Amino acid sequence: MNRGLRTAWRWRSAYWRRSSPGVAGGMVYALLPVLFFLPLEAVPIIEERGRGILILTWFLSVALALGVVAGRGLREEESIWLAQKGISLGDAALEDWILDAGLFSVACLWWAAAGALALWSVGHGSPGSWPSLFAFGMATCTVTRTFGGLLSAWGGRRPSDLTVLGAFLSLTAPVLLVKQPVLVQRAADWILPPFPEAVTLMGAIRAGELSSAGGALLHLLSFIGVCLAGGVWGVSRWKPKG
Amino acid sequence: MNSSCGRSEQLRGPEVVATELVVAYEGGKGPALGLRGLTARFVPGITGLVGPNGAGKSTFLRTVCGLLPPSGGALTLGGREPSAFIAAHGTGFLPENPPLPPYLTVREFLSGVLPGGAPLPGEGDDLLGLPGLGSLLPRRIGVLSHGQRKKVALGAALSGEPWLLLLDEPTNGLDPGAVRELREVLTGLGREGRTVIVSSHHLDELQRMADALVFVRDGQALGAWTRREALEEHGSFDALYEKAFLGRPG
Repeated sequence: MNRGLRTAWRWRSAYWRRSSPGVAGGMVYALLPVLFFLPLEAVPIIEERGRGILILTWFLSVALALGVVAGRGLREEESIWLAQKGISLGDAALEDWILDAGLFSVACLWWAAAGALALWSVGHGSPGSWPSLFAFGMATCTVTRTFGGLLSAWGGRRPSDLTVLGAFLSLTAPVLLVKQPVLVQRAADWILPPFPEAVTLMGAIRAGELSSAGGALLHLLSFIGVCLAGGVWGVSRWKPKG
Repeated sequence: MNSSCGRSEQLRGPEVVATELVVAYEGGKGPALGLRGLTARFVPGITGLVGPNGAGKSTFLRTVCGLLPPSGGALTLGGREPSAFIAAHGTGFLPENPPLPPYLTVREFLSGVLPGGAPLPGEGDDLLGLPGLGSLLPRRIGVLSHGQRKKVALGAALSGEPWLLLLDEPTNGLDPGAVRELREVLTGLGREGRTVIVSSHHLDELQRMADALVFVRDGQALGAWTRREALEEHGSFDALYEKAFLGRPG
């Protein structure tokens, strides 16, 4: 017995509008790309516009995805009603994930368009600017959402904090594990959320290196697939407290 | 209620049979044993489930509607495994403190718990057989009063026209008018042949509508009576309770 994507849309879109990100949050996410047009290269740690846009897009993507996944993969107040009607919680969680991915794609399309325009405005634009920024934002959003969903589905009390910790470890692993054996570095590569792969994907698309882009995409899709399956399974095992 | 949804092919509620049922669950202080070999039978009509706090009433209701798995013994709904029955027919479960998504309107919420997004049955103010529910449809759940939220939760439990309805302290926090409305709704469902199990401490209210009583204590059934037996032998449900739990002559 399924509740269907149409019904899932009613609940999920209401959650976006009235809870997270909410109308005000949505406006902020829509307007923040104005920052892409500021002289970001003047900031010493950034030094060039493209890097500034990349960093801002990463923060926007992580913030949007963490806000959307806050709480459980599927919330307690939804689960108890769906479960008693024989509606599969796993299906419902998967439907929510698909709809969230749709929201991310709309946001990332907008951010990538603004980013590409900002790059063209300073003469750094290329035909690959827009698709590479879109792929980067989409990969970051989806990895964050799926990893956070997995943690919360399996009872993680503070999935957002753990996801940020995972992102930090993932981005700093090359430095932290520099003296470790290659095997450990490889293992960390596959266990930690593949945020560096999103950067690799973006660079490869921009440079037109399809084999490199394919490798990064495969890594991202494998991680997302495993986390999504684990998250949906975790949600389907939900039981009420007490 | 009529069968406009067309999903309930059976014409009578299922018989709920628990045999030496054991249920352990994860409580606030670690694993706890909610039921310790409960044996009882619930037939179509309204059955009151009565016992002191911590007796296992809520655990039993959650187990019947498939939210908690049995750890031992047997539980059948209409002769089938609970999961098979629920997948085919669904249930209606009203928790004592129903968690509701505050960001949804009543219409969005109720249509979401109807399988396949079927249209909401009922007309005007009288929706799902509940007077006044229709007028709440456009309102956000987060701004409703306690009684209104309870009515919405009951509407969700009734949606899909389940033949098995499980209500945990349904009258708590309701004003007398709402209690009377609820009694009329439940009495109607019982007359239709649906199996309605009501956990309650309000024995006077149960006496007005229940066809049978099951007493539980320490996760086990203490006894079961039909309405007629209880009233003929003891005069009132309250007297029966006093004799069974407090040891006073009824």
